Amino acid sequence: MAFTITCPICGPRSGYEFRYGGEDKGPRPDPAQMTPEAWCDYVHMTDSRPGVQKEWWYHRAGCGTWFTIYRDTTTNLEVAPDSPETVA
Amino acid sequence: MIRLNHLPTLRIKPGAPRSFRYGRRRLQGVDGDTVATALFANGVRVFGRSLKYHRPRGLYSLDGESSNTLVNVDGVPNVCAETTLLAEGMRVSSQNAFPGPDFDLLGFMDALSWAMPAGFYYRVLHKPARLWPLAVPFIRKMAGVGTLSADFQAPGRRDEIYPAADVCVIGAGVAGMSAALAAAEAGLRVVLFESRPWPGGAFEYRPGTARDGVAYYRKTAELAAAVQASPHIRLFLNAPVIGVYSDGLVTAFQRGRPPHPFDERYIEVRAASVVAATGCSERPLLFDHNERPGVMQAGCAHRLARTWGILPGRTAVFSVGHDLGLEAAVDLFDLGVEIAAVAELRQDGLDRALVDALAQRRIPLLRGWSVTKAHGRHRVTRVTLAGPNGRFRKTIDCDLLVASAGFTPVTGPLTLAGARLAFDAHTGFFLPASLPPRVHAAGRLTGRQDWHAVAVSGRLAGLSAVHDSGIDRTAAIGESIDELASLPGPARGTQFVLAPGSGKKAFICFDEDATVKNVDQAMDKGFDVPELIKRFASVGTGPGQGGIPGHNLPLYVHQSGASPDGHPRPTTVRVPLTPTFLATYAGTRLDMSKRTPLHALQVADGGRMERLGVWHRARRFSEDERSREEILAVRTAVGMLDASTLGKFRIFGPDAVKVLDRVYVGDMTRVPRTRAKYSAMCNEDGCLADDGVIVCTGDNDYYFTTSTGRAGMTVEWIRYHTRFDDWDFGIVNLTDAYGVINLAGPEARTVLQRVTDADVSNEAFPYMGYREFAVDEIPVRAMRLGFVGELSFELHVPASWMVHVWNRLMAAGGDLGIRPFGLEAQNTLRLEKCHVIIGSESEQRTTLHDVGLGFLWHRDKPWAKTVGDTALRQTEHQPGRLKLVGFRMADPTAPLPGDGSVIVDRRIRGYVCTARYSFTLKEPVGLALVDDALSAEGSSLAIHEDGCGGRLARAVVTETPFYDPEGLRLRM
Amino acid sequence: MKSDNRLRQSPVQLPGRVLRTRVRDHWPVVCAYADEGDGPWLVDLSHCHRIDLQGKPLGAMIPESLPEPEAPGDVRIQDMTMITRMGTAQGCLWRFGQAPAVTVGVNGTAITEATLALAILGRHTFAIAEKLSSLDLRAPGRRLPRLHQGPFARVPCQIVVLDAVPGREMLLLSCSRGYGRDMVGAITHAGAEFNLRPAGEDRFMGMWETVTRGLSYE
Repeated sequence: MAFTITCPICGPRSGYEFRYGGEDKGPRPDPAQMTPEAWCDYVHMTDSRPGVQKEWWYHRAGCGTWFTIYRDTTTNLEVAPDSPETVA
Repeated sequence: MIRLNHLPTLRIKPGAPRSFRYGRRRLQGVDGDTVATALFANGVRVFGRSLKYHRPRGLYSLDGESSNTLVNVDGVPNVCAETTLLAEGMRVSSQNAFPGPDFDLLGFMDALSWAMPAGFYYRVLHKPARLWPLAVPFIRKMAGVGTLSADFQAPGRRDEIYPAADVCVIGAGVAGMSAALAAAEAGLRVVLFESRPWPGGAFEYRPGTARDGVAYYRKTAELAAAVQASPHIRLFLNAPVIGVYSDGLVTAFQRGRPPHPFDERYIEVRAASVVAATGCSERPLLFDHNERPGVMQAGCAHRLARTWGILPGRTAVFSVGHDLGLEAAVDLFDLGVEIAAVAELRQDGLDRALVDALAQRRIPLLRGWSVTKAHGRHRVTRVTLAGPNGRFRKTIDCDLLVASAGFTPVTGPLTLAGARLAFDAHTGFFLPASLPPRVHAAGRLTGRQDWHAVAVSGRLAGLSAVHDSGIDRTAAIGESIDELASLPGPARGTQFVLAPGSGKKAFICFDEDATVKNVDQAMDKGFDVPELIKRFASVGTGPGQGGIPGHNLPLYVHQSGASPDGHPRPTTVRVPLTPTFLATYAGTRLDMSKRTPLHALQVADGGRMERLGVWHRARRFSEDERSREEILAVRTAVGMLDASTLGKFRIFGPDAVKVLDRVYVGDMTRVPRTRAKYSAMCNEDGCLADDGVIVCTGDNDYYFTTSTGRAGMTVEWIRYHTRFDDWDFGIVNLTDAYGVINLAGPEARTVLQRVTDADVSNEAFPYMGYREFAVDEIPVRAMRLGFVGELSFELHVPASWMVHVWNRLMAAGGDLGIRPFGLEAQNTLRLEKCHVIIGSESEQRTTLHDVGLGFLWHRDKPWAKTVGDTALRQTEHQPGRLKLVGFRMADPTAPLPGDGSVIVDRRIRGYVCTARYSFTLKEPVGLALVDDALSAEGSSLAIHEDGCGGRLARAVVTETPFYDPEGLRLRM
Repeated sequence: MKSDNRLRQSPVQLPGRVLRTRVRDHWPVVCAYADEGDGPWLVDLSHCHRIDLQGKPLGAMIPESLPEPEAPGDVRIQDMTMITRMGTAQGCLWRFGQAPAVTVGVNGTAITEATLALAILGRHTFAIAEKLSSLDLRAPGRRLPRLHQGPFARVPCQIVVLDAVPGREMLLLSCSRGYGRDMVGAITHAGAEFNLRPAGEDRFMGMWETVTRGLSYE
């Protein structure tokens, strides 16, 4: 957590100010349209692939915003959103 | 001892004496001395005894590279004498030696070293296993250095500081200062860390001249003056770096200054760029008895004279492999040390001017020679030198042996920052092959030794850091690169490690008493990588953090041919680069907690305060752990609880109700204006996350409460679960804005009516009602809830008015026996009523259904996509779950089972959540989570408690709630 | 029973001998402490009105006569009123001194009672701050005043740097009310080496006028 995270409101800050909110899995689907298994997958399953992922963070010690960043899980460092690695 | 007090390079004030005690002796040092230099100046040569063999150890280096000079200072064990400045009145004593370092009863251990090969503990005492317990007490007593009593309190004050910086430069030598100045010129804020008490690094004490003819120390002092004059540079002296992390995070600590040697300050810097200019330490030369007192590094001998005015010996022999050693020999000769001989590992590549200077002084220079053995029991009296191939031996009497094979670049900060090291055959160094972005290396650690080259490399690093920050420095960087190319490059370094000899008494690691022979033994066992040999033979695992063996071990292993891929491999460096007190890493011990507006009043009323999460709360108001009087007051008269810690929130806006429907399991579309709606929040698994009440205070305007522990993350939870919905709502945390008084008991209404003009009769303000009225003109939000099972009013009062309103109610109820009650009473009262507390009657896996709150779930609001809705459907009739039941003891006189006791039936079938003695029912009652098969009324539960010896307590599942099952008392 | 001597309680008690107090809207406001020294100072401003504003667009939620801070972190000051922008749709309105409460619409929430407010003033203000927070409160190239949201003494805070010019350093701080005692304890402890002393509201108002006079946002 020694890395910094760029909050869209407050700018780059120490990772300790944030709470991790998991990989970005897209908007909440309609459970009525899904099998229980598919819903369970949406809630609990993650890709956990090494490399750049889009993920959620909450600035809990700061402005209280949920936002996404791109981060390389092999280096623990944030990757600029416009860098080529962010294209999944 | 007489000091040389005329030298321009001195860092002491010879006229300012400092007296201190060493054991029973009263000694005197001077201002500017370290504990080590003061002891040395007083003739102390044996500073302590080594870890395993109790060998005498003395001053070898000056920057804490080994544990040789760990002493006890003012009762603090393991203080590094080399890096601790002397203060008036210090009490210093030696360690690991009895009765003293000069004569130690355990000195015979050295003769037994053959019995303790590498991996001794793993191998010798391993089998038979029954020997191990016999050996433990002996080893415990023998192992380790320094003693610490169990009630030891670390002296000194600790705090922390977070200086803002754009560039962090590690090392204030010539390169570091040049880098700092280059960055400061661009207006960047620079933090500059220097572990020594003054800037200047490897040049500040040297009288030699740079290529412009000016003495090193003068040029360096000029640089230091510029640094200290710069408004953009913050120089932290006496501040070793602990670690370097990603994104420019550098941690360090600042050592105390006399007269407070143990005050330490933790420093943390987040810089956009980091420059490592940490220079070199000296790489030890290994030979038999290479750590005998009287053997020291070239820089140590030279700095003792130049910085502290102490002649390191009368007659010296040098055995070195670099020009700095030759320079020291020449200068020490000029200062009055007789130099008997200089053995030089190198045959060629020597600085010609220094060779001439030695010749002018008739100092014999033996090229290709090296020392092979130091003689003398407690200190060096004689040394044996040998020529190339170990032939042509020569023995010379001396009291000082300056031995140094080469240099070791201090690359710890770079590797921690993510640099990859590769072996460089020219310098013999492990040099960074690649650097992470925004990390730069400069100075002597790159192999350069020339003053100008070191300065320009520093400037180049500083300019590169400026460039990182977005200020274009392409031109200046190009100029520096060109200039650097015209200056001397990295000097060729020797890779010589071990002088001819057995290696039995050649110590590669002083801290752990590890010899070259131990390394051989490890390689014989098949270890071939330094990283593993380091662990098996304990090389570089002591307080010096690998400062002595870190470079020699991989070189030696490589030279032995054991290395599998033919390349020398460095061992891994880890934090802390410089060890210090754990208390220093902790910094300022800030334990931030919250107090309710009634805190002082509760304490004054005899409240026993407890820390619960972030809050302080009153557990009870008497000695009675069961809070009988408080419970009876609520059941028979009236009591008041400070419930201010409840979470309280306002949520409003056109989409507020959608938000509530998303997170609450109930139907929020129709919350009436005058009633409080009780509901719960679940997680995606349908497990209970929170419960509370919601009231509607206006159009699209709601006020809701959460449990105390949940308040801190409610906003986060709500925003998380709506993050994809562009809903228009506002949410405000009002937890601290309102204090809450729970006024409860059959006389509660009487008390309340006495302080308000509002009609609070049962008709005007019924159970579960919500009203806003004034008490003493103070606006109060009131709810009729019944958590404790009696008529009760939950009054939400503006925080600043809490004391006033509380006192008014207390006065109004005085004749009715009103009294404050605490959490213990509340717990029993609500238990009798079987009202759950989240976290007590639920855990991570407990669903809404399990605790019997399924009725709160509104199953028909698919539009809301309520959090947990899918799981609630699936678990509604799921078999095999733990269900919440009430129980009474089969024998009402049985002792109360403890909270958390397990319920068994051959296997664990559940556990007791809460059990208390009910004064109302006059018997113990409890709530338990049990297998649904055991949850039917009348089921027998067997309770196992720690220490029950197999005697299980019997309980019976009974109808709930225990108290007032019709709920009449809430509705009075 | 009606009584005119009803008093509210501040979340904060400063360790100093009170010289003069005035009561404003039932708040006992300390005007001056004995022996305030020559800085740095710690001032309790918890009685000042603070209103949370939320809504889209935020500008529509700000009373008409007052300026709108345009981007998160911006701060606008007009006479005795300060408005900070905390996010795209959230701001906070502060009223100092004798200024009466302003009326705002339903999108405003009075949070005076929810938080405490302190000011650290005078020399060494930022030397104290850097012992308690890793936030870069004086990043160059940033126009003052400016709002920072982040940890101060481990507690999430709203921090407004009003001025950093030597002699007129002003830093405002607010956080959850319950932290009152520990927050004052942390600041007092950090400030001891700089001789931090409690000061009354008069000291703050004097500096406020100096610092805010002639502030321009062009």
